[in-house]
Amino acid sequence: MPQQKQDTSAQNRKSKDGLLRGFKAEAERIATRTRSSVGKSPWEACPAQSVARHLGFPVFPISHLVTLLRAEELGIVGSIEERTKDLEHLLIETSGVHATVLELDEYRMIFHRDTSSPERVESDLMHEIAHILLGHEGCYVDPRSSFSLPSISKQMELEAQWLGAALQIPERGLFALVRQGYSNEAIAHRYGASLQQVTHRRQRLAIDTRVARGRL
Amino acid sequence: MTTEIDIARLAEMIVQHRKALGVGVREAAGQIGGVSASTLSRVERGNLPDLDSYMRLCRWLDVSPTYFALEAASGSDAPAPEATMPEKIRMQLRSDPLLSPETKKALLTMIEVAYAAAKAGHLSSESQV
Repeated sequence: MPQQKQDTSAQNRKSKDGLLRGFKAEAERIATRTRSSVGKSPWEACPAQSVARHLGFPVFPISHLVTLLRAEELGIVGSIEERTKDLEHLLIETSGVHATVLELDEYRMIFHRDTSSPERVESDLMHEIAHILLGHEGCYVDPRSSFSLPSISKQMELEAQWLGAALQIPERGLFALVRQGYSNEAIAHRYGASLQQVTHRRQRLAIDTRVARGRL
Repeated sequence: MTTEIDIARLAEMIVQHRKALGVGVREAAGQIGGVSASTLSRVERGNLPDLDSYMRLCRWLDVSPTYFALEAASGSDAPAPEATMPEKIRMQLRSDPLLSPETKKALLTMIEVAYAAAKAGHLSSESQV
């Protein structure tokens, strides 16, 4: 009986970290272009709020909704207290929610949990912005039927993770700063990122090996 | 002008919503809060709830309290109640993979409040905090 040929074409198209070959380079190009569109070079911080607003998604902390609700400016019928309690639940770590992109009829916005650290907020927002830039559609929700969130594909998550990181800490900028002798702490401070993010990105991009070879 | 509640429609919607959620009467009553399982069961059989229970049921169903109103023909040209939820909702979350029922409920509240805030002009680019 002839041996069945294994389909390796799909496997061959992906790098070892699960991204399609060519995606990382494309992500860096997208990041450079996007940062440039809000006037930021690869060597400076690029506030996620600026990018989000440029894309038509103003950014708000969840607590802003709590403030508006308590001020009773929204004409909502029914229990303000119960709704406030619901929103306050989203502010705590155990809710599991970090950031949300919403499109409600013609209105678009992003909400984030303002009790997270500033570095975490930046990372969460850039991740959501990455999904937007990559054209990943969120789920359509019908609140009158059973509310369930379809899972975003693992591939989309990997792509958004990579692009989100590139938006926050561009490869070109990181390479240049490492070559100039900046410490990870100084780089983290410059980009408004966490030390862990910088360390991870530096490792994933093999920056030190490339600096040693003198090649970006 | 007199107003009555379309109790048959209310009952039908409660049953459908409960089945869509896959919960029994007792669990649904727990979700609603402040409504006993026996009260919920009576409403599902077509009995009129008291005002407090009615408001809680409408909240659970995500509809305005006027949703079930039946107005007698009076020539009134009062406007239809304004929608509390958008027609189209698209959402993307950065979150843990498993969300508790409490978090899902909170997300629906966020959608409702955000929609009201957006319509009132509080969520434009200019009002970004």
